[in-house]
Amino acid sequence: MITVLAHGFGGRVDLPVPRSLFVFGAATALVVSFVALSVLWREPRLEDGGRTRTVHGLRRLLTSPVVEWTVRAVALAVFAVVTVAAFVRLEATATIAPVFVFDWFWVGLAFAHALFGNLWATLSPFDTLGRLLLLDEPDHRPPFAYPKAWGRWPAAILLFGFVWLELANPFANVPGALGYLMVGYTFLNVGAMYLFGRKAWVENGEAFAVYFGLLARLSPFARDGEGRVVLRAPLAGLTSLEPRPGLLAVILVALGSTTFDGLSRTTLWVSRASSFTGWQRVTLDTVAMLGVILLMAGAYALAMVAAGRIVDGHWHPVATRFAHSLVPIVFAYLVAHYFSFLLIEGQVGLSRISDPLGRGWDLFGTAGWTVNLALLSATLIWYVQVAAIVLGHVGGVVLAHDRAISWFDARHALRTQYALLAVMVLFTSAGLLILSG
Amino acid sequence: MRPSTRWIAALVGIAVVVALFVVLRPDGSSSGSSGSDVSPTGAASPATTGTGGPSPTGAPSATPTGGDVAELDVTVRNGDVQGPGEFDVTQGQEVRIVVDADVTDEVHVHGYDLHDDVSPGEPAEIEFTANAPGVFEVELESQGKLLFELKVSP
Repeated sequence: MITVLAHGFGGRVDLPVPRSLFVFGAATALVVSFVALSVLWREPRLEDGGRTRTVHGLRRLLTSPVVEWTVRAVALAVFAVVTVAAFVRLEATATIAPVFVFDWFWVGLAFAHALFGNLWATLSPFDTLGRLLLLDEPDHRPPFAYPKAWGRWPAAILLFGFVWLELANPFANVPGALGYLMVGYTFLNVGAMYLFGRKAWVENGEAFAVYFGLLARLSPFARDGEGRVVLRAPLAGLTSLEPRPGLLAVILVALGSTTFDGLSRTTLWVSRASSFTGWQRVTLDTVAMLGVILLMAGAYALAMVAAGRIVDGHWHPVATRFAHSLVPIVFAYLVAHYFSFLLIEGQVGLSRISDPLGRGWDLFGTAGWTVNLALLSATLIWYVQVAAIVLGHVGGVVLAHDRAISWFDARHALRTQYALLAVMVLFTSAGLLILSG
Repeated sequence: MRPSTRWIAALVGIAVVVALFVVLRPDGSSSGSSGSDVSPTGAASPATTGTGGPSPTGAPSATPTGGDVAELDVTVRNGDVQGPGEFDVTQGQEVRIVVDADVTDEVHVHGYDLHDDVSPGEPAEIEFTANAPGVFEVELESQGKLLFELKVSP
């Protein structure tokens, strides 16, 4: 898996899920799908955000510019420290950079978004820089209007770049590579915000804003136009996701890369791929990751062709309309593959915050802390993995059902679901199969 | 479909899922499921409860009190690893790894983070209690060469 972290971090993967639990998970997914087809509601309940309730209590705190800018300043400072650490030419995990970027940030923040809503909107150092550099209208008139046809493609491409860095690990032998990439990504964002305006770029091109923004829609918490906290049904936030070019690509990159990561930990893969080293291994991993993403895209597209036939429509608009129903599955895969990685390998970060640059400091007295490898029992990890995959499947089925009955007439709605259900059962079984390999 | 029928369908669905779970859940104790246990013992391991972290050093620990030691010998010649790709042990078991190589390097048990130097004629010997579950890479560190995967099952 994450070999960039090789030393004292990583190199542990979860035990394969027992065959019996795999069968249980797959069977449950099937039962749920059929029950859902017959008993789920006949009137849309989640579409247009469903019912919401405004929470009045925290308004002053959450809309206070002092609070917001304190949080932004702290987040920017943390980003700066981690970037400096990423340049330190020490053994990779001697600094805080790898564990912070690939564990706390990439996995931890993703989980936090699905639970608590869009935190990156305030934490993002790129957004904060854009605001500090006054790249917003009316202070700044961007020389170009953001091309509508690009949609979220820039985010999809940059997201692929990140997972490629993490999983194919092309710069394993380039010390400080992570630091150069972090600085490069910052310049790229500031440049793009200058060209297209901060808001347009953050919405479409900043990979993490788009990705975390998707996951945040799973959360029951959101902010309304006046900054108040709004409570909504979990998942309901996904129904207001605007179909734009590249949205599906972002979702499929997230889904396919996690699947590839799982696949690359199976005994089958490890035993065959370990004879490849250096650039050959990087090429193999890159091709395999792209292959998995394209395979999943193909399966989804096929289901959409089938659904499109039933309603006499073209498959593409149907495909974008149902893209949101894949987001719970993205999150389910994330939990299944990285839950133990966050809680076990993530412990490394607790000691590194005392010595972020690997200089032998002990700022908070935690530098000597060691990882408790036995924190989670194997059984607990299995249950969390299977539960996550099955619940993700339920979420996907519910969202797809709700959209089908609001978008198609009753005669067609259920029939359009057969193909999509089939592809979801396929993803779920594949996810479980990988976990049990 | 009438509302009552829908409730019945939902309840039947839940019942089926619960029944499946009861039948299929992994048995925590022995017959636990996946993969075959090639380790010599299974019953008599000195089951240390899984709270403590990894044992601190790679130095050979004291002779185990209760059960046998699961030992794996691996040989590396001309870059070829001779040995099984996977080493299955039971959680809590004493494990002994001996690596005989024709190069000078360091053997690293990931996760447990144990090291021992190896050079021609001087095999690396690492002995410890496998008290954390999971699959761990054992590598020749500087070459990044995978020797085998250590699989610690409950």
